Amino acid sequence: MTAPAGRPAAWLAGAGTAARSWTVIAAPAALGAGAGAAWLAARGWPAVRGLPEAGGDVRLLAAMAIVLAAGNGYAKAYSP
Amino acid sequence: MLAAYALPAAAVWAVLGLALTSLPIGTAALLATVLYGALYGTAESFGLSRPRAPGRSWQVPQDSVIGAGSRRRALVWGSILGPGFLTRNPYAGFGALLLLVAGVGGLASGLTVAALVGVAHGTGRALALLRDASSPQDDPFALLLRSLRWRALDGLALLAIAGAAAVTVAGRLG
Repeated sequence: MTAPAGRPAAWLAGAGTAARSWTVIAAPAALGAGAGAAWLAARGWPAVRGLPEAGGDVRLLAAMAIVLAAGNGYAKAYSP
Repeated sequence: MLAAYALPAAAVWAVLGLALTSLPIGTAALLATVLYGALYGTAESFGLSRPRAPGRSWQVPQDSVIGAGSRRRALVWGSILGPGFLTRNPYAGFGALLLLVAGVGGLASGLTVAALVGVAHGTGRALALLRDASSPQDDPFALLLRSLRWRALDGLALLAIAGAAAVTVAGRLG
């Protein structure tokens, strides 16, 4: 994808606005998905086992850290 | 090439994981993860320019690699870029990794998770360099747009981690 000749600033501003509009939905969804996954992980997936307990599961956070590390390393090459 | 990046990263991160998890800061680190993830996740996913991701602005000096053989170049780049601490990183997700490792708790699990984080980061970095070497990206606007997309994705990942850490720390405190 390339910016229109002579209007790179407007093009980038438009891209930013478009990003923010979908982020209004995606950001709370991401927060809720993380909380929900931790809640389910701590309960041994109650939809299957029906064992309500308090708290989250640190193993889920460890898995998230490993995925985040891989993504961060891969994405850094795009850093301008 | 992958090993040149992944092995130094695993070693550095393992030492760091050992140091962090030997301190009694597990719950505090998870609390900090919640705050950090919420703050930087919101900023990055909404495309806000501030706060900037914490980190250094140092870059590898050219004379460390110019004229060096391919093995030495891979060793220099691998040991500097693989662990990821010394050079500039525009994404705030990297800072969250330290907090997450500290929040794992337990020496053995902290060491294991930290080493795996190092391997993942180093391997991801090496794969990105191999990708760039096979298909160089010349258009600066496409590069910038791609960086913005990665930043937004990093922000969403941070928000998900903040949510998961909030539930986990609530369980520890409750």
